[in-house]
Amino acid sequence: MRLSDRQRTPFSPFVLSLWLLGLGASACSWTFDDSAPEVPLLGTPIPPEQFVKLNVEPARDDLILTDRDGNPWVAITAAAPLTLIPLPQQRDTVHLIRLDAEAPTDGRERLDVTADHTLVSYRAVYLVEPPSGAAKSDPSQPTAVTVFFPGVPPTAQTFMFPSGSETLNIDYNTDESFVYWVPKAKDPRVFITRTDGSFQRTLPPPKGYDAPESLGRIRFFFDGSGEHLFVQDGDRRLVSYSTRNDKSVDLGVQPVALLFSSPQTALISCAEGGVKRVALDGSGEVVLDSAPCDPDILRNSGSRIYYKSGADLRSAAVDGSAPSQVALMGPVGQLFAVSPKWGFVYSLDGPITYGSGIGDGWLGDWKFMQRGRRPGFSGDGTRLRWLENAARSDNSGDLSSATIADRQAGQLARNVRTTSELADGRVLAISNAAFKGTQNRLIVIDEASRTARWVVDSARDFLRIPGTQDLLVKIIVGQLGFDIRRVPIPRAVDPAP
Amino acid sequence: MLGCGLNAVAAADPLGQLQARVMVRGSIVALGGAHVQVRSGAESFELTADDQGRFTLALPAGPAEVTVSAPGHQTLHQRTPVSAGTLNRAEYLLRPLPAYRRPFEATVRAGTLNEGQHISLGNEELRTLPGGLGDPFRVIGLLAGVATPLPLLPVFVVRGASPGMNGFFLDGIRVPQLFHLLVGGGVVHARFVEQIDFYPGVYDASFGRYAGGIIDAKTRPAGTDGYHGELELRLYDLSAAVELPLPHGVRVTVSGHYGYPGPLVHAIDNRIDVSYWDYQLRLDFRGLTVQALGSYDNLTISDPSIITGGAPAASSDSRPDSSFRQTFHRLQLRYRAQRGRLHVETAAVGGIDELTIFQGNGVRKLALNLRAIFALLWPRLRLRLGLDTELSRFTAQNFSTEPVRVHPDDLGDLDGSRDGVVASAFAVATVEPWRGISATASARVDVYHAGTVTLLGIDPRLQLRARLTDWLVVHGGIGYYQQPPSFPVALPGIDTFALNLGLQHAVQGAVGEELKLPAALSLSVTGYYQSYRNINDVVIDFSPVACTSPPPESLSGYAAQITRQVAGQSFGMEAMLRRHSGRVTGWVAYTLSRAERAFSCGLRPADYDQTHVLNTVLQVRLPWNLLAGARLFVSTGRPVTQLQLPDGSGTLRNNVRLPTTVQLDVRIDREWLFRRFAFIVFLEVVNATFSEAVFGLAYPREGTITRYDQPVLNGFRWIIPSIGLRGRF
Repeated sequence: MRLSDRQRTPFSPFVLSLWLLGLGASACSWTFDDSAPEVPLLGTPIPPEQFVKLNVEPARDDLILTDRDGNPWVAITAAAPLTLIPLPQQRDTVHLIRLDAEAPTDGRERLDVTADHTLVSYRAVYLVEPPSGAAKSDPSQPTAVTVFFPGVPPTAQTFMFPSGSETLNIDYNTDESFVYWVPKAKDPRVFITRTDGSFQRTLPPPKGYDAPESLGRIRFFFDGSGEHLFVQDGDRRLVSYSTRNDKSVDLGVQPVALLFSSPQTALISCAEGGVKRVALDGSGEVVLDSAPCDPDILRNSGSRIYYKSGADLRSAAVDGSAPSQVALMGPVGQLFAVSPKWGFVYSLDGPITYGSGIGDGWLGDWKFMQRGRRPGFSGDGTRLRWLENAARSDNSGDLSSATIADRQAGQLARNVRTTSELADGRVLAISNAAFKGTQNRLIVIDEASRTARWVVDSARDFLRIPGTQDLLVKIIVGQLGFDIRRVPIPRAVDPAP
Repeated sequence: MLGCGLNAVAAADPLGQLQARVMVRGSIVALGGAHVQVRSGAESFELTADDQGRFTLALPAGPAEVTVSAPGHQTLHQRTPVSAGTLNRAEYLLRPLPAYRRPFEATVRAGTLNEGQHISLGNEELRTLPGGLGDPFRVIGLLAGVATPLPLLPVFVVRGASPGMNGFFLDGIRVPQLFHLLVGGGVVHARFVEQIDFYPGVYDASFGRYAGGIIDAKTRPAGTDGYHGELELRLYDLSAAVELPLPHGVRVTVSGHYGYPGPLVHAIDNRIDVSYWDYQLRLDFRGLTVQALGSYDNLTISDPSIITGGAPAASSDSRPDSSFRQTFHRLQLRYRAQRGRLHVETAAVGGIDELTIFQGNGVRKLALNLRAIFALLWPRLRLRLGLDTELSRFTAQNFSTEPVRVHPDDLGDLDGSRDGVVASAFAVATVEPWRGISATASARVDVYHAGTVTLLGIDPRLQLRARLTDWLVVHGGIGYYQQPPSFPVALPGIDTFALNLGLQHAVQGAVGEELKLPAALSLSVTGYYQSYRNINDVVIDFSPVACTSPPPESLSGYAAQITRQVAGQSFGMEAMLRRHSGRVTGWVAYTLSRAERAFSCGLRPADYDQTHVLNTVLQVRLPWNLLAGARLFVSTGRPVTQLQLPDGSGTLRNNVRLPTTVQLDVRIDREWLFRRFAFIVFLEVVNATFSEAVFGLAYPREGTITRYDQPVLNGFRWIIPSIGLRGRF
């Protein structure tokens, strides 16, 4: 085509078109990135809607319980709805749904319990009903605490206590006993109750309960069997109370840093005066190490106890059968893990620097972690995994892994909150979770094949259902709560979804 | 002295010598070249004062009628008695003309070679416009195309782009911030600023690395007419400026601010303390200009629970550093020369930036920038070529002396230690085949490198401009604008990070017309459309969990929480009716716009979309050297997300709007001119109507329960009075 001079002017439609065409054609950009993800996430997001939803209204939280037959249940607490009028009628509702392989997978088999407020443990739900209505202002009216055990059929025991702002301490290990106490009640006695109703005893309020400066020092804790309650009063005096009879053992004044020996025949105390073994039968104390003990590190591993003294990590036999010794020359700030094969996983950073559990990470002379948290060995003991760059307020970090033999490290996923290793070595992780949002997701990482796959999108947290190959996943649906969906763990041989 | 006696003095008359000097009233500046007319009896003389404003004249004894005139100054008529046989000394002080009576200065197109629709502001209006608090850069918020979605804060949203997409230049130097924190003014002394060119969009390729608007400020060299100085005291800061013409043509300007806005800030929140300072130095010698400037801001929160999220600090030992500090320094050596048609500008800029977030964690940036621009100017063709490169080193730091290093990784990708390289080249060609009709084609190439990532972008752009008649100009343009990943709020030391996010892309298009109207009025109307892809948006409303735009996967910490990588678009119309000169000046700027972003539930209004923004600015020159002004600001409230019943899961993003903002600002300046100095008192009241600043929705708590069903507006009523005294010579 031949153009006249007029057609060739800068403003002729033809030339303008050429300019615009050139404009569009030449606009471009390139990205050259040598830092491609070491573990690519394969497939496309898996929408949560394709999995069974167990809740009806938005859930606030979910916890897994085990009934007396060993079957798993989930306790789903309902989130407060938007319409809350009138407020006083707002009550806690807990939906209990059976999860074992024999139960319907759609959650049809459920038990609903409600109370003024509730507490969910590993075997039972504690329902607290203070007096209501006109009785609310009557101090003589009791508060009812019902311990509800899910099962087929479920069982429950109800106990009456003085009303008020109660402290409810639960034996989370066994749910055999609990403590009920209202420090500001007219009757401030401490009630120790076995949940089957077989025994109840009362104690006078711990010393210092009526002084604000010492009230915070008072604490209650159970041993692992629920057979004994330990009460430390405002003067740090520790007393063991049986939950089956009226026996008690005065263990004397003890420091705050205490640890059960294994088996639980003694408490190990750590203080400026050294490390001591306090027999639970009241037979006395044995000094395991007279060197000052820093409670920044106090850890039990098999028959030995590890603790910080000065800048060093020291060790002593729990039964006192061998002299204490320096386990690791300092400086040691924190102890993360102990491996019989590999030794100590520790940090030079103390807990005050970045926060407890956060710091650099060392295995011997190998600094594998720059500033991370939750380092631990893989199930087969060949790897270390941790969350790197994790001195954050959002509790996430970059999931990293290193083979111990050749010290080769790599990143598995970014902004990870929660992880769990499967039996086959794969790792479940909530990733892309720098903050709560629908971008959070559950993935499964196969380090052997260096790939990751989607499990479900919009996932904030997950629980593994014991005895099954399924997960309970918290799905983000809005500000108010979550959906709880039952999601099968993808098999390792599954093709890409 | 050049004299021209019209009549020879009669030899018989007794004579006296008049030795006089012409000065500018209110200064120590002599007015060289002033035209002097003297009448003494029947005699008449005309002469021109010398460079020092001096003249000497032999006159007959008796009263002499002296008339002195000079461009830009009021003509002075003064009777001077002349005694015979003696030396009669006199001084003539000429008042500068008020700006509205000076020769008309049209929108300054000649002042810049950059092409594209823009608004130029300069001179008196930069300091005296109501609502600007005397700060030149705040005036940007009064223009068409600009939304200010956060009351009180000078955060500019230009044509719907993210605030972090705007570029700030000062004599070619990229500056990371224009304003001090909170009520602080600009980081550059107002006297130092000669002109601000505001490009809302569709500018040529000489401006790059930004995908939004451009604010291009030029500073002034010291005047050649003499020494000048200025001292200004306001309620919250003290500023000073000095201009020194030195021997051998060296000119020096020094200026700065020291801010103490604490008491003013305490009126809003007494847990916050703010302090700041800045300095500027400019030295000119022939074509060489040396500039140094810097700024420092410190914000301290006395109540640590504000930063620890309500948790009390465990002990004084573990209390985190509760200060936010930002500082930058720049040193530029620039050389400009002209050889025939060739104009050359070369410059080297060194810079250091430091940013400290609460808890002492922060980043330090050291940078070296080199640039060269070559322009060849023919009557019908202008060519410009430019090269620009920056080498930078970013180092993560903890600036605190405390042993506690709480949450350094909250800064995420912002404080990663890295070396950055940026290299750019552009070419701009403007042809004017017919007088008044021009086309500008331009393109630029930008390369960014940090860590293991390299980005390359090519941006072509085209502008057309046609002066169809003496009173009508039409213009249009389209272009591709790319920017490296940016933090949504411009901060020192925060750039060239997270390059793996890729470039931000914008396609900008606009058409408009400018009409010159009678009575010194002009009207400009522009329609625009901008399409965005992969841009780093800022989150204003953090509450929505569903129907949101997720953060980039590779970001973490604050960067992930605040930044969203989204696509979107904006479109609208801007109209500006402006009176440039006369006793009454000002403008009416109206923007009708829509800014949208692609959220997970679809295309929804952007967090800072404001449909209508109206700025009416009026200044009146009154007798007695009074300058009074008022600004009426009306804007649609920005959208926010209100949870929808019953459970919030179906809530659409930005489903309601905050109330319309109406704000009235007033300002009055009164100047007294004395012989050697001038004294100005000004009073400005920003938000004289005590309107409420609404920042969003809040849900009240009743006990442990959040009343999502009863949202309330989260805001407060405020007013900023600014009383100031300024002395100058």
